[in-house]
Amino acid sequence: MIQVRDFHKTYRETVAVAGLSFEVGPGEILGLVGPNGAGKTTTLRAVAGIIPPTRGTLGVGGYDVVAQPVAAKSLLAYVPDDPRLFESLTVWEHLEFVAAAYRVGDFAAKAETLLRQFELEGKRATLAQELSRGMRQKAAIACAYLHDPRAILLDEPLTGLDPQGIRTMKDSILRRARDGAAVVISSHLLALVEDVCTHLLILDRGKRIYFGRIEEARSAFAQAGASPSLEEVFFRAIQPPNGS
Amino acid sequence: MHPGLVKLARLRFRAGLRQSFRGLKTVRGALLCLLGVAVFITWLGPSLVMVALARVEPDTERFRSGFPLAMLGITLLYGLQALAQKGVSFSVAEVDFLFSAPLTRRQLLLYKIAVGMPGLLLLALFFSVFARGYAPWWIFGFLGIALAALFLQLVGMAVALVSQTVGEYAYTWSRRAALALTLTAVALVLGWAFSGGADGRFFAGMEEFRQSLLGRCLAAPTEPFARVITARSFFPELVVWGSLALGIDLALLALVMKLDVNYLEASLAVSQRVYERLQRARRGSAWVSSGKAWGSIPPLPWLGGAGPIARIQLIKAARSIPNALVFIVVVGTLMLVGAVASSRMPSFPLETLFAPLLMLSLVLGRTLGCDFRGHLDHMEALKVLPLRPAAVAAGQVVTPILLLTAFQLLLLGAAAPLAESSATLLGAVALFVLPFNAVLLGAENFLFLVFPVRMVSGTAASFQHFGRGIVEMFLKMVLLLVAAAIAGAAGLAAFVLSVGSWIAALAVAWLTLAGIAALLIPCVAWAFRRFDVSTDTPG
Repeated sequence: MIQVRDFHKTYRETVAVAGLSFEVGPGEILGLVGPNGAGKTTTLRAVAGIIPPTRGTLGVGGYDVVAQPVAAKSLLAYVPDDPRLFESLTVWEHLEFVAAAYRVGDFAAKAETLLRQFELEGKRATLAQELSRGMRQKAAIACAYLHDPRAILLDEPLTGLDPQGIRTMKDSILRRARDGAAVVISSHLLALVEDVCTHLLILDRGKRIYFGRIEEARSAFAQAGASPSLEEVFFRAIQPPNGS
Repeated sequence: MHPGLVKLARLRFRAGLRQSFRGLKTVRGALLCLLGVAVFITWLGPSLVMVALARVEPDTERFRSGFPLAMLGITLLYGLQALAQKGVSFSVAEVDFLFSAPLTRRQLLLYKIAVGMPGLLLLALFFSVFARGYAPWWIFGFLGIALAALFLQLVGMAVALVSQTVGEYAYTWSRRAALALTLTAVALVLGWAFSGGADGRFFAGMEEFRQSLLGRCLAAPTEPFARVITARSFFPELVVWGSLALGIDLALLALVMKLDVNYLEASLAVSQRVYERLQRARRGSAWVSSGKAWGSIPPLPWLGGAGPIARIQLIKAARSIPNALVFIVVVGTLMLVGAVASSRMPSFPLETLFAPLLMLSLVLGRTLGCDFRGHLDHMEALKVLPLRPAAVAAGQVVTPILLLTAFQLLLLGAAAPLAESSATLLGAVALFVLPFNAVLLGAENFLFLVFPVRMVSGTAASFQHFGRGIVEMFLKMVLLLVAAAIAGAAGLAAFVLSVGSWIAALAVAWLTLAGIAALLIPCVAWAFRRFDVSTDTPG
C-alpha cells in the first residue's frame, strides 16, 4: 500500500533523509522511531505529498505521490504532530468539510460513529478554539478516519490524550489495520510501538538503521540469547558500533 | 473550484460572521459588541450618506495624478515582501488539512484567492470612504479600489511563485537586484519631489515627475485603477478603464495558474514562520528577534524587587530593539516626510508632529510587550514571587517609559532642524515627555490588568473586541486629560503666584504630572493583586 524507494531529501547542504526504502502492506502497522532530527516527520510529509523528494519515488496504493498526487492523496490520511484545526469552526463543521473534500457521500452516520468512538459527542457544536489539546487531537483523528483511508500516517498520535483516549486511539489503530489499512506511526513512545506495531523502522540522521518485523528486530539486536525490550533494541540500534 | 473548498470557504465565511458577534451571551460582551457596532455604523453610515449627498466637485485630476505612483510604490513593496517571504502563506490549519487532501495546487490557489475576497471587499469599503473626495461615484471608487487590492494580492502571489521557479543563486541575485532597483527608484522619485515644483512644494514636485516621460511610463500599469476610481460615467469611462483593470487582474491570475509551481513545501515553511510570529505576538514578544539570544543587561539594584523585574524587561527590550528600530525608523521617516510634504518646504510647524507622535507612542507601548501586557502568560510566575505588588508594578512599567521617552526625544531631535518652532517650545515638550509617558504607561497597565485582553487576537476580529478597544481608548484619554488638566492648573497657579515666572510654572506642572504618575503605581499594584490567573487570563 505504501512504497518508498531510495527516498532522499536534502535542504541545501543538510541531508534530512538519505536513500530510505520501505514498504507497508495492507493490515501492517509500521512504527517509525528515531532520535530528534532523524527524518521521521520529513518522511511522513513526503509520503503525504506535502514536500517533494529530492530523489526517489514514493507511492500510495500504486499511485506515485509526485506524479499523481490527487489519486494518491485520496487514499491516505495524515495527522501531523500537534494538528491545528480551524479555530472558528466547530467539530462537526470540520467533519462536514472533510466529507466534502474527500467526497464522502452520506457522511453523517459515519461522523456520528466517530464522534462516539472518540468521546466527542458533547463537543460537536464546540468551536475548535475552545477544545483542549487532547480533544483537538481526537477531532483531527476523527476527521482523518472519516473517508476510510487505505493508508494512515500518524505523527505522535498520543500527545495530549488521557488514559481512556490512549486506549481508544490504540484500539482504533488496530481496528483500521485489521480492516486492511496500512498504518505508519511516528513516535518517541516505544511502548506504543511495542503495543500496536507489526513492523519497525529505525531512522538515525536520515539513514535507515533497521527495517523489519518487530520480532525479527528483537533477535537481530539480542545479546547473550535474551530477547531484548524494544527500548533496548532502539538504543543498541542507534549506538555506534564501538559504543562511544 | 473543488466542492470541498467551496464548502470550507462557506463554512469559514459563516464562522467569520459568528465570530464578529461572539460575546453576546454575557451582558458585558453584549454591551461591548453593541458599542462596537454603534461606533462602526456611526463612522461608516454618515460617511456613505455624505458621499451620496455630496455636492462638492471631486478632485479627480489630483487623484489621477498621484494615485498611480503611490500604487506603484505599494506594488513594489508587496513584491519585495513576497520575494523576502518566498512562498504563498496559508494558515496552519489550511496546511494541516488541505496540503495532504486530494486537491490540486491550482485549486488551492483559487481557494486562497476566494477566501481573501471578503476581507478585500471590506478593505475596499473602508478606503472608498476616504476616497470620497476624489471619486465622483462612490460605487465606482469602491470597484476601483477592490480591483486594485486584487491586483496587489495577485502580484504578491505571482512574485512568490516565480521566486520558486528560479534557482537559489538566481533567487538571491534577483532579490538583491530588485531591492537595489526599488530603493534607487524611490530615492529618485523622492529626490525629484523634494527638489520642489514650481512653488517649492512637495506635491508640486511629485506632479512634475508624474508628467515626465519616466513618470508616465512607470505609472502606466496602475493608471487604469485610478481611472476606474475616478470614472465620471458608466460608459465609456467605467466600461473601458474597468475592462482594462479587470484584464490586468485576469492576466495576473492566468500567470499564477499557469506557473503551477510545486509551492507546498515553501508554503509550509512560510506558514509556520507566520504562525510562530503570530504566537510570539500573542505572548507579547512581537519584536523579539528570533534565533540566538544576544545582548544582556547587568544586574540592577534590588529596589525592593523592582530592579530584577525591570532587568528582565530591559533584556527583552534589548532583544526587541533591532526589529523595533526598523519600525521606528520607517514610521519616523514617514512622519517627517509627511510633515514636510504637507507644508511649505523645507520646514514645518512642530505641532503637526504631536498627534502622529502620540499615536505612534500608543502603538509602540502596546506592541513592545515590555510590561504586564507582554507577561500575560507569566502572571502565575509573577504572582508567586516573594515581592510586594508595588515593586512588581514599578519594575514592569519602568522599561517602556524609558524606551518611549528615548524614542520620542530621538524623533524630536531629528525634527528640530526642520521644525518652525522656538527652542523654548521644543525644550518644554522634551521636558514633559518623561512624566507624560509615565502617566500613559501607568494608565495603560492599570486598564489592562482590570480588563485583560491579548494584544493580538488568535481569531478573527469581533465587534466585542472593537468595542472594548473603544472603551479602553476612551478611558485612557480621559485619564490623560484629567492628569494634564491637573498639571496645567497647578502650573497656572504657580505662574500666578510667582508673578509670571515660566520656570516656576513648568517646574510645578512637571512635578504634578510626575506625582500623578507615581500615584498610579499603587493603582497598578492593586490591579495586579486582584488579577485572578484562573479567570482573568484571556484565551
